[in-house]
Amino acid sequence: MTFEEKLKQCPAAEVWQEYCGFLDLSLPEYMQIQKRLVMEQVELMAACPLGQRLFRNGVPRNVEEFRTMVPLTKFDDYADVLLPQREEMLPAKPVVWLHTTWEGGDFPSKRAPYTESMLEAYTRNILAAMILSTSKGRGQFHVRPGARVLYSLAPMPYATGMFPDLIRPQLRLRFMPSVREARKMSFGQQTRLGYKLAVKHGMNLFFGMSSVLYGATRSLDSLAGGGGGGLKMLWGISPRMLVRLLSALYRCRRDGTPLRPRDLFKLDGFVCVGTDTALYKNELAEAWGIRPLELAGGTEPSCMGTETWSKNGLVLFPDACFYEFIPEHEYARELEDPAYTPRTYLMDELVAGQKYELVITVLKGGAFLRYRVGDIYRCLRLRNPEDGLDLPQFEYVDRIPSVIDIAGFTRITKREIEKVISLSRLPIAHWFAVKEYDADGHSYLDLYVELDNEDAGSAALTKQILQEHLSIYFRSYDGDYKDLKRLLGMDPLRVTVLRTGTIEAYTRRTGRTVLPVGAPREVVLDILHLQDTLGEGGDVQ
Amino acid sequence: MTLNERLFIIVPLLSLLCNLFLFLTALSTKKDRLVYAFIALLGSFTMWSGGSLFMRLQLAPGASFWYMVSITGIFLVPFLIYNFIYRFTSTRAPFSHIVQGIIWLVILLLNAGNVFITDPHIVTAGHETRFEYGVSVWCFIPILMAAYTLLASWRLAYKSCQDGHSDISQFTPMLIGVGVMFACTLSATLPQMVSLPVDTFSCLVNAICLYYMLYRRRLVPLRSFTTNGPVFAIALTCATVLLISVYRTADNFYALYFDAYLPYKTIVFSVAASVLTVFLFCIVRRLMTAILLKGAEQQNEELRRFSTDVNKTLSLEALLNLYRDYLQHSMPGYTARVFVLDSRTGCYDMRGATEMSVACRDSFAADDPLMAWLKSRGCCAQYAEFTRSRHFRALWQKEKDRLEQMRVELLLPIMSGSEMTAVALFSRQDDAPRRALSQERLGMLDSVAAVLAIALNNASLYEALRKKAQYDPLTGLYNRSYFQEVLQNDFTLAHHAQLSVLIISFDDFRLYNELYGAAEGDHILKRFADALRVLVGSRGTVARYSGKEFIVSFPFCPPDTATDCAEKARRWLEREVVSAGSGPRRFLTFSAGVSSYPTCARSVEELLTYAGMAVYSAKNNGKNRVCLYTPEPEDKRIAKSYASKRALADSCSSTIFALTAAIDAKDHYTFSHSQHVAEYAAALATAAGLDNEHVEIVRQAGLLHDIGKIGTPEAILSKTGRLTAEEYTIIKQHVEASTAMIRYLPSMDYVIPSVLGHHERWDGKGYPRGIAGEQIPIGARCLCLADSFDAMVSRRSYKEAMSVERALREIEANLDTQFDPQLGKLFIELVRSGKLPVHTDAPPEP
Repeated sequence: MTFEEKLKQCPAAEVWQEYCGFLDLSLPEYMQIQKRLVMEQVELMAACPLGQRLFRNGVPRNVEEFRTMVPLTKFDDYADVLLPQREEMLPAKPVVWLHTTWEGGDFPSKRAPYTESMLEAYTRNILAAMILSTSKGRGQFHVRPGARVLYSLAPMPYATGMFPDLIRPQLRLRFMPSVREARKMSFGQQTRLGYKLAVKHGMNLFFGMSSVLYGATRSLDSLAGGGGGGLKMLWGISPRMLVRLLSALYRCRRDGTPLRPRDLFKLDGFVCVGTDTALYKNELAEAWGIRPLELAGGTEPSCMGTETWSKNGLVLFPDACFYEFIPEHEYARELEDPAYTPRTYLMDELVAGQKYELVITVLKGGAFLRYRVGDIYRCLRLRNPEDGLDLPQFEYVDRIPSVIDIAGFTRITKREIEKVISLSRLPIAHWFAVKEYDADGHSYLDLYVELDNEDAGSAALTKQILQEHLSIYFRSYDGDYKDLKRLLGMDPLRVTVLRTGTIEAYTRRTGRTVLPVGAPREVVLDILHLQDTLGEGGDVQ
Repeated sequence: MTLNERLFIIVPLLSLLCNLFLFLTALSTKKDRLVYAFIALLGSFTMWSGGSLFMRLQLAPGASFWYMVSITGIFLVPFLIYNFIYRFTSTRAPFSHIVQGIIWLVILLLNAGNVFITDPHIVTAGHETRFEYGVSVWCFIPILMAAYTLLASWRLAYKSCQDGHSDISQFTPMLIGVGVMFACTLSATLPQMVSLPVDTFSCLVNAICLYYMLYRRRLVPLRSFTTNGPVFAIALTCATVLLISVYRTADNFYALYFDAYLPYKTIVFSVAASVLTVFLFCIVRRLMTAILLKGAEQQNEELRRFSTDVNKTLSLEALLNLYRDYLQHSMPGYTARVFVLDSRTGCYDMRGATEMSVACRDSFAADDPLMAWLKSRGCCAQYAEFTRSRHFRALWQKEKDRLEQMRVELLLPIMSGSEMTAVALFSRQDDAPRRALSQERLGMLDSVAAVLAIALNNASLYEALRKKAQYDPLTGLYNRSYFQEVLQNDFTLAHHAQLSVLIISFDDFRLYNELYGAAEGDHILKRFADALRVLVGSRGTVARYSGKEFIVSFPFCPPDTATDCAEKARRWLEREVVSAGSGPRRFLTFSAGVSSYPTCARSVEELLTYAGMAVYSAKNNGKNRVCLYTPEPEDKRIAKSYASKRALADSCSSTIFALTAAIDAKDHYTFSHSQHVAEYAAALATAAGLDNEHVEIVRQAGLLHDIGKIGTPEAILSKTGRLTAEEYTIIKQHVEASTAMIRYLPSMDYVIPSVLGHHERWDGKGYPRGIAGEQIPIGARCLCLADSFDAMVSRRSYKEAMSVERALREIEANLDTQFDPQLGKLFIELVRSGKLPVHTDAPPEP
């Protein structure tokens, strides 16, 4: 029975129970599911060459052994199997391979195999998220077949590109533009056409990347073909939307306010994904009249978490991955001492308010064991009595400190910056990079550089020139970086030129080396203060 | 009468009868607000149909009255439908409900004043009689109100479905009924249909649809049709119709043949009508029961038979066979698999299936999510419901595939209290019709499961008790008594082949317990039992024979197999206990004996005896070895045994001397007394024809028989006066004290029977056990005579020595009471003939 048939034939309570029943789990029940499924994964892995390689200390017999015997892994541990798509090495036959770009890593991209069972769980979980996006309380939801969906997520082979393919066999939705059309377009074209169609015909559901949504919300007129579009825009518009548009325009003119999406659309559900969602959420809720529901996921873990009806914290699905958490002090210690192996904790061992790096084991025949995704989550609370949840809830914080994620589009690492600087042949002696946010809430990469002594005084190398020069090389080296400028209209790079010798002086004074990427904010401030006290030659005055 | 006229009578009559019948049926069911709402609705349909019919027939009190009844029924229908849905969906909106009720009440009152429909009258044109009326402009009010009320009903139903309280399929019959009503009402406006009774037809359809709706919700069971009210209504109607149709004929017949009884005609006809009604009542009731309750009665009969059968057995297998037979019979088209909880492993193992082709090798683990879900649910459930539960998420893919492969449709937990003792999984066979099981059938499955659960619980308790009686609780091996049954069976089986028995007895196990603690002793027994079970495997049966002894039966195996197994067990013990660990070295060995059929034993008893003797031999030959019993000539064996006992006694003589000397310190009579008793008893035993080995046992028993007096207070031993009852009780305890001390002498426990029985009397009045006659071991009887004689002829602190002759007379006097008469006479003869030298303190008799 498809989801649509269930919606028609079964009581709503049954549909809710099937898809969102996991929210009724107690923490021990949740852990029981997790531990049971991870042992299935261990059994599958033990029978395949990839698993045998990872189980070099023997096959674990229980979860405790699994956590002690299997090392924490990164994509490098799988690259030789996954990049050439060596299916014979895997625990189960994949039915689809998803990709993501990874310019900052040792390899240009990452690939993740998806088995049939994984897709089954993925489908159920994405439908659960859709139900929750339209819900106003436990058991109350409003998903209707034939709803119009504006879909503004990255296409296949990215993980978000799977959503329409998974949903369509289960529920008849009208994607704008249609999936077939969208596949022929670039992401930008797809988003613009989607908005135009939404303005003409209305929409019920909205799936989008937070940063794109935010950008679109701020320039609704231009996206909808407004501004000078005039009569052209009115051609083909449905009477209902025409009435809405005219009344919205009238109200806006009368009140002197800009046209906001909430004036035009009455959404049943609003789903957003991507980093920095937390930054945009309030503004998006204000603009659209409905609070967006955030999803957690990625290429490797698939769709692994969703917010509930209160849209206030992620709950992780119990059957997508087996979750372990590295506390902040543990991964910080590892940054200082790369030989250190951080300890992990399970879902029932967390502390509210603490930040954790997520470690996942993909269940149901996935390829990743104790894999460090590189995402940091904060445990908001261990239970939520208001919503009647007995499970921990999380919020996405950021990537791990050694990776700078800009608006969910690109992930910049030390390796990438080094490469760009070397390609640019600029006389940069020392540098470090941090992630900052501008007044509009956009994230950007702030690159602090020190020029070589002999070039430091050159008037030709101004901050502006450095920035333009590096931007060109970033754009040529990293395709995702290029999309940032194209889709969001933002320049994600700012360069701050430090007085020559500042970084060395800081190291001399404090005895601490400055992390090239993700240095703490207080270190940056200390360096800037120190720069003010330095003399010409880098001596402290 | 034209066809139309007939239709206008037949259809409303049918509708009236049907509504009346349902009305009476509903009255006989258990009533709640919903059933009352249904009864009210049926009432309005009855008014509608009945009024219409009687109006056509122009029955008294007149067409106008019946018109008013009919039109009131019609005006009541929308609100009563709303009321019915309101109750059906358990909606809570009393304000709207009351307001609508009031509005409809007002409409009814206005209608009574002919505000909406004016000037109703009968028109007769030719043979056709028609009812005509006018419509006022205000008629739109009840029409709009009816539309609003029906829409409000629909809204309630829709909202209930949306909220998940009801299923849309529940309302399907009602939708059909209302659809028919609308279709009929609309068609009535067509000129072709004006002359047809479509309105009353819609009443008929509606009533049946609503009844079906309640039946599906199990509010009005079919059996309510067979209650007295509806049955009587049918009987009365049939009798009336019959009487009307045959009245003229019967009247003529009566006038022709019973002219003389004309004054009694009314009474005769009344009685005949009553008899006919009762007769029809009986027939209708029987018919209704046969038609409607046949299935239910069959099910009840099956349940009753199943309950009776399962109550007759305590065997798990028999119960499962009965259940399988029941399912095969009552669930055609389904394959059932029954999984029973194994209390030891916690798993549900498949114990039977209704299809012979289904292999019974399946099992569900104790932590299987399906089992956990079924346990929490506690009653029959569809597999689809499980797939919607959160427990389903915890299933492994291969577990899902297995259930899919089984094509499980229905799941039935068999609960005993909060414990799920078994589970039945039903899958539909390929050729079975795709028809859902009725609620009655599902209910019956639950009832049968409840009966089975109690029976399974009893059976498992019985099984547990039976197993408890068979197993040793510490080691989990069979116990001695059950092993003897097993050995007997093995012996019967291996009657024409070989059978070997191995007995393993730990050496100095008491010492091991004292050194390392009883808990450690228990631990090693348990580990050894496990190891032995593994070593023996399927070749034989292992049991715990006594505290420190294990026994193994090897059917169809030569003695070498048993010997080999014993040697392996020895190596295991050496490896795991003696040489294991970094702690202090522990010593534990065992002696083992093997006997075999038919080489050296001819019966089960001999097998056990000889294996025991082989163990004894192994212990006597330095322990920590395995001895195979080999038959030896009797005299050689006795000589060997005697020699060994003698050697043992010699080696222990210093200990015995020390002990008796200790007694001497307290009671100097006892020291020489023991020597004398040993001497007299040995002589008597020799004279009685006992072999040397036995004589040696008696002699040693004589030396040791009073060593328990070491624990008796000196004041009592040397008391000159008569002993009090309390003192006598204390002195009697020396027998048990003696045996307790002898047990600590290395390998001299064979003297215990003689020592223990030396104060027993031939007539059974002795102590400590009060045994009599030949139940008293012969050695003890010898000791008794020797002890009594020496006591009499010796001087004690409390008495002078008795003369020998007097003592012999005393013995003679107590033959058959205190002493064995044969031995007593022999002893007297021995003394009197001088063959037995007597040590006496008494002066020689003059």
